[in-house]
Amino acid sequence: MLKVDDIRVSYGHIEVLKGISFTVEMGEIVALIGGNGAGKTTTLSTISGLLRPTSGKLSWKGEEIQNTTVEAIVASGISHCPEGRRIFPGLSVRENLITGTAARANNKQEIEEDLTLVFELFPRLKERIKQRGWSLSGGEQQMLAIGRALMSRPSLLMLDEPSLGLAPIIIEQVFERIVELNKRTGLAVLLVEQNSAMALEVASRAFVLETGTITLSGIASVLAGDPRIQEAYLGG
Amino acid sequence: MGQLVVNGLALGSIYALVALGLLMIFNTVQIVNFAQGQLLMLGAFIGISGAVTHELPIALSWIITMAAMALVGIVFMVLVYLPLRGRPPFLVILTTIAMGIVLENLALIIWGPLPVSLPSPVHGTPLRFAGVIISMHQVFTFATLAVILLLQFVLLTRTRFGILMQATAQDLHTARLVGIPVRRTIAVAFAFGAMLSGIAGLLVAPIFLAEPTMGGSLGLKGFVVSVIGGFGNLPGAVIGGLFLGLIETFGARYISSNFRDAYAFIVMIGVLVAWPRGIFGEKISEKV
Ligand SMILES: Nc1ncnc2c1ncn2[C@@H]1O[C@H](COP(=O)(O)OP(=O)(O)O)[C@@H](O)[C@H]1O
Ligand SMILES: [Mg+2]
Repeated sequence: MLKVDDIRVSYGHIEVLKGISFTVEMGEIVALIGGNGAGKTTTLSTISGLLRPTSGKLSWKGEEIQNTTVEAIVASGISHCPEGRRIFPGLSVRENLITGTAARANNKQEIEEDLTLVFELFPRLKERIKQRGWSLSGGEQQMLAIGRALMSRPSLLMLDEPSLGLAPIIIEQVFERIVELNKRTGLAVLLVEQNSAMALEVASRAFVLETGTITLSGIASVLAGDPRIQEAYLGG
Repeated sequence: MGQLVVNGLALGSIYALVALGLLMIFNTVQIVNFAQGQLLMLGAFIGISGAVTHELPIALSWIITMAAMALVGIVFMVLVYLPLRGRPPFLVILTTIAMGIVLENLALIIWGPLPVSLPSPVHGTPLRFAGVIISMHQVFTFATLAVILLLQFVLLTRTRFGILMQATAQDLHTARLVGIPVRRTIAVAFAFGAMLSGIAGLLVAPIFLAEPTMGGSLGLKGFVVSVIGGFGNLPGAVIGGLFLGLIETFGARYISSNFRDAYAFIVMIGVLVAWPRGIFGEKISEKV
């Protein structure tokens, strides 16, 4: 469904992605793992159209998207939940969720239905519906960021380090919800993580990114047992 | 005394409009537009071209001016904002100042240096309460400010597009990422901001006459008022505007009218000494 084909991306003169390739199939959870500065966020930003590759191809549902605008990519079903959550601090929970519908038609009824779905997934958000973004806890902000990403009705959800800075129990809740959503709706997920134990647990396949190159790839459960992974990303 | 209050509030309403236009743009792209006063002047002269030169009905002339100013706002965005995105702020500020000078000179070439008057869109006998006279133009000025505040509030908080505009203002990068058409939200902010200045021009021209150099001090006062109100805060800017209008009117009456334009800066400095973030400065937590 998503095919990343030998893309290279630079910031100025510095090449950060040195020709990486991978795919995400329909309904699949794929983990992209790598240390700080490996190029994970750059990979997601390139897929969502915020950055342009200097070479290589991106194809999505059979169409090339490396020159497509961010708005059109979101509208076509790829949703990006950014690193550090980045919810809008001065907007209420409800308004934050509404911003996720920007690339869709402004159909009030459909938007209300989708709000209901997000609130079913994260009841905590409904309790906080009128609260401003800045006043939420880290876990609530992460739920809100995921909810906002779901409001565009994606078929691929890209999550950039959703566990960053959250308590283990909250991380577990968030991952549980993501898996549930994937099972129930067939939503594909591209999950980026540094701390990979949980990511490898929920993913079917995984790729390891090191300084702009994919160095390992395979079945997630197999990779989880790989000594190189255990040493570098699972804390030995 | 009562008369001075009415006159002061009417003048202050105009400052408030200039400030609202300034903040519409500032809140969205974090650029202080120092040509806001020259946009006001342009609005006044477009109105005069319609209503006086071409003898159009004044209401029609207002509509044309508002539409033209919205367009001017978009041109302004294309000329000033888009080429300078991401550049150091002082460059952008200098560019807006330069645009103001260009506009002033263009107006001199097109309309000449002589002051011109624009009729008020409303006529009729002034209202009288206990010896205080409120002209129809003053009533209209208050009503315009009220309607614009209401419209702005409804646009920004009750429509999806307004929510997207607020999101753009709070975090441009994330706004892009979630699929907000930020070119469009920013264009609307510029169009609306220029239009508010234009309306202020249409309101001020029947009182003070219009001339190409009228923008400088009015633009600066819009800026002062925004600072007083806690830069970025819309109700604060309105209250700041009304406050400055009162100070100026009373100062001119009881102290000296020679210093009329200096009061603004004295007040600004006084306010900043007392409240460094402006009287209605935002809580820091909301800015993060
Ligand atoms: N906006 C930027 N400008 C310049 N260099 C950047 C920028 N963003 C990231 N980089 C660099 O690119 C590399 C990859 O960054 P990133 O994709 O954020 O890595 P990760 O998400 O895996 O931590 C790092 O060396 C980082 O310093
Ligand atoms: Mg990152």
